[in-house]
Amino acid sequence: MVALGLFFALILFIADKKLRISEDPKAEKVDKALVGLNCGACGYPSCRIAAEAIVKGEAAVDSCIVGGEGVATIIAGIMGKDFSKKTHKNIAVVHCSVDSATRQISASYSGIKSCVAANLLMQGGMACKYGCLGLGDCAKVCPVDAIIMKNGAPVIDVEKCISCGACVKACPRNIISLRRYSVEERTVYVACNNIEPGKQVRSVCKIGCIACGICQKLSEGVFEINNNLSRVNMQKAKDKKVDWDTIIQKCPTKCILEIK
Amino acid sequence: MFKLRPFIGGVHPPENKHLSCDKEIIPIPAPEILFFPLSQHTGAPCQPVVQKGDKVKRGTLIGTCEKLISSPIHSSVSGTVKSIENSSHPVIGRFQSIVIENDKQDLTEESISPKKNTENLSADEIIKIVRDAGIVGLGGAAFPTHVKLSPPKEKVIKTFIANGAECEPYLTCDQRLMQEMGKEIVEGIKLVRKILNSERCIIAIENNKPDAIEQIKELTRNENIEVIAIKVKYPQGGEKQLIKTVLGKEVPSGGLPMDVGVVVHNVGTLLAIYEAVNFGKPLYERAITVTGAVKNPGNYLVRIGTPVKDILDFCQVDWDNIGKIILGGPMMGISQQDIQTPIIKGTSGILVQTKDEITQDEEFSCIRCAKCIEVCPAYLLPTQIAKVVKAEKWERLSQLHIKDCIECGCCTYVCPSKIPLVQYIKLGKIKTK
Repeated sequence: MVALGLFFALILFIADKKLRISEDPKAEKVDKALVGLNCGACGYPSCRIAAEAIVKGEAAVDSCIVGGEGVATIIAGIMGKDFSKKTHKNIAVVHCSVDSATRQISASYSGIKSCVAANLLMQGGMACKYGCLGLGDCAKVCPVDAIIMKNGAPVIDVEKCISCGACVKACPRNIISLRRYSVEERTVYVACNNIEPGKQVRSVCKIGCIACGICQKLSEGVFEINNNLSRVNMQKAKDKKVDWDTIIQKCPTKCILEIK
Repeated sequence: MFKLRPFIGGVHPPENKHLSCDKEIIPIPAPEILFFPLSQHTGAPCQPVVQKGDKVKRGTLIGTCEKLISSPIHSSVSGTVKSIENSSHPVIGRFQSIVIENDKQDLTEESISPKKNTENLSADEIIKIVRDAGIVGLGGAAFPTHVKLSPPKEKVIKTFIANGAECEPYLTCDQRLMQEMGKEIVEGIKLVRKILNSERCIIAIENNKPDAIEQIKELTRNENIEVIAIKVKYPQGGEKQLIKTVLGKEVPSGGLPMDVGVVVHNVGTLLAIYEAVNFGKPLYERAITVTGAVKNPGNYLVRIGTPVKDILDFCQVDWDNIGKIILGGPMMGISQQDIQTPIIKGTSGILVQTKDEITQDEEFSCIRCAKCIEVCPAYLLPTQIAKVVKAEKWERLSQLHIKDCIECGCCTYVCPSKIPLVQYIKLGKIKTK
């Protein structure tokens, strides 16, 4: 019996020496420094795998979107790399501003309380096929509760938003996008997603973009109109000085909004 | 006579066929403006072959697609193409449509004329005629008929069933077609039988249509065609359920009726096949039932593309007291939100309900009574599927055979907790695609 015990002990000893997986001790440290939400916003399935990728040099030290600067600085310290502070972050913006009061209804919907399900069934009773249905699929998927449904419209908390993109994927009408945001710059966006001609937009919504082109003229091309819909071109906005206030005021349907 | 065992499951909703079952099919005049969505069938959508400003005639090809599972679309009036734009679609909400302005001259394509020597046509020639005429299953699913007529060589079609069950409550257009156009339908049956080369040929009709059964029996006296009266039960008109009732055969999960050597065609489709072969007439009009809260409920012959508004105006409806307009029957039809929605090939009826008739029930928790499981004709567990969809565990849905659901609505109809089970299942189907 003792011999048998010793024999197995020997096997275990050899196995320990031969089959040991050497792990970079840094990976452990980086993993601890990460947020640990396993949200997947960095593109890796879990924080642990992201940590290993950072240690191997496959991912940048500031890969963790949720952690932001703080985490990136700690990881840069562990890795012994320089990290230049970013001055901006991305946030989710909703390109539709209707709420319970302004949403035009063409039929009353009484099915499942989910935007995806409502969208499948005759546009969920909403007159506009492109706008926000207001049933809160985006709020349900947000891992940090940055989206709250207020009066049937999603309201995004700029401080909480970690730009993981979960809401962008969840919205069946693709009206949420990620936009660059910083305290110094102004974040102006067009709150409409209807690509039909102005007359038809007007018939289904009073606050939709009718592609009149006023913003395009006033901003000298920073606002671009494609497919009957105006959008801010962020590349151009960098180089030009734009009088945002006038544009916001001049918009006839008041669908140009600003995040504050 | 052998004993018929109906399929398992199903419900008996109030039939309400008395409103329209004695009314003859009357043609409705073509309206000023018609909409032709480019996807009116199961399969690939069509591409427009006309441009804005083009002149078209009744029967002119306006949309086509090269893919096998697709069906061309024809104009149902003579006039001008006004535009090609997004407009209402009765099933998918909005879709690209060809808008045609009627010039009221009703000019007809030259190809629509009585044909000679139709007996000598080969099977392939008939299938080509059916494809070019844009014929799809008129029972509701709108599956291209030419695909069902050309089964793979290794599959022998022993039985061909003409589906005159019309199990959906309120609808009576198939019944009226059998009574008024019985002769043509029987001719259509003979054509299809020639193509499929099937030994047995059955016409199945639910026994709440005694007149239609009498009529068809009279017409098929000297033919080798069986007429079978089946007991009323919803959804008997579903092809898998009909095969189970009539032949006792079970179509395998995920399979087609062809797998058990059967092909089922709706009687309306058979009439369309007959007209296409003998008169070169493409599918540009169909019989529908307009019923419910209208002054003149009945059966009407309408041009494809006619907006619901024009039809309801013709049937005189009290616009102020409309609660719901459903295209199709009450069980499987889809309620509409735009009165400009056109009739498409698969639309079998318009049901109007008043404000008092409709209820908006709140969804309660499942009490596990298992009524939905009892009535499910596809042997599924609707409550379990709804639970999994609510929990968003999409990967588990295939284990529950969600794709076998025929969306007949029996589970939602019997649910005491008013859970929209079919909607959950539809959502699950989209997510597992």
